[in-house]
Amino acid sequence: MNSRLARMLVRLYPRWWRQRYGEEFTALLEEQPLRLRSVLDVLRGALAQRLAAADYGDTAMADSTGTLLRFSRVPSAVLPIALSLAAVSVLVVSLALTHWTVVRGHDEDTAVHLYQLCMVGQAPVSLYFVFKWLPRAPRRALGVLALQLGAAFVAVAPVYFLGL
Amino acid sequence: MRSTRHVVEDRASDDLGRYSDPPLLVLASLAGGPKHGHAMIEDIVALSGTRLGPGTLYGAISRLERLGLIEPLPTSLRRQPYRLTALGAKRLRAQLATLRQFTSAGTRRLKAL
Repeated sequence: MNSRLARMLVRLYPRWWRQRYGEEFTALLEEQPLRLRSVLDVLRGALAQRLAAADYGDTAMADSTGTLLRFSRVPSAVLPIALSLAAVSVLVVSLALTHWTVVRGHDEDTAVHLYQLCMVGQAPVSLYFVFKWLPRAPRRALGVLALQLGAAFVAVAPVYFLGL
Repeated sequence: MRSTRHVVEDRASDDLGRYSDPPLLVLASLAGGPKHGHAMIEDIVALSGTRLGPGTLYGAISRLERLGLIEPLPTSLRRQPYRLTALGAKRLRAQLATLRQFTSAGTRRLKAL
């Protein structure tokens, strides 16, 4: 796996985790062959570490993602973030398959459809979350909403900046 | 040519999956001496036939380190070796003893079939 992709994947982990394991984990990823299974495994690991951040009881570990833990069993809180991560992985994999060359004008590609499905599909789920949880727990729901928006931004930014 | 029986047996084996308890596999690997991540992945393949993904491996490493069952050694060339602690060895022995009981009981039951 090339070091650029490895560093991108490591950035998905919480800050406290990156500070402790980031360097060695990047080195390990660079040694691994590029496989979809490995990329998905890292995405799953990053999500698990983010969900577990506040569970360790160490305030240094519980960065801004700690608010998510309270909602980690609420599907409408977690699903939009998972869909954004899935959209990012679709982007990464499709770029990797074209050897990091930006190919424009392929609007009917499976990858494009998958990406659009992930991004559009999370909108009604987020809206449902807002209507259900914002009135009940405004502060924590706003924290989760910020994470959902942040994840969506991470998924949209490469498309915008690379002009995909 | 492979017989149908082998294919069926292989499929049954695939359905059940290989033994995979990442923290236990990491402890068992480090029982053979200190290792860094890549060496652990390869050692675990040789030990159990299971290839841990990098995210799964480091999920297990961070958990085991937090529990004090493994500890890092000085880094060499960005690679971070880990070793088993005394507590880790004790926990591994206990886990393996449980597995031995399980294996013996399962084997006895199979013999009785």
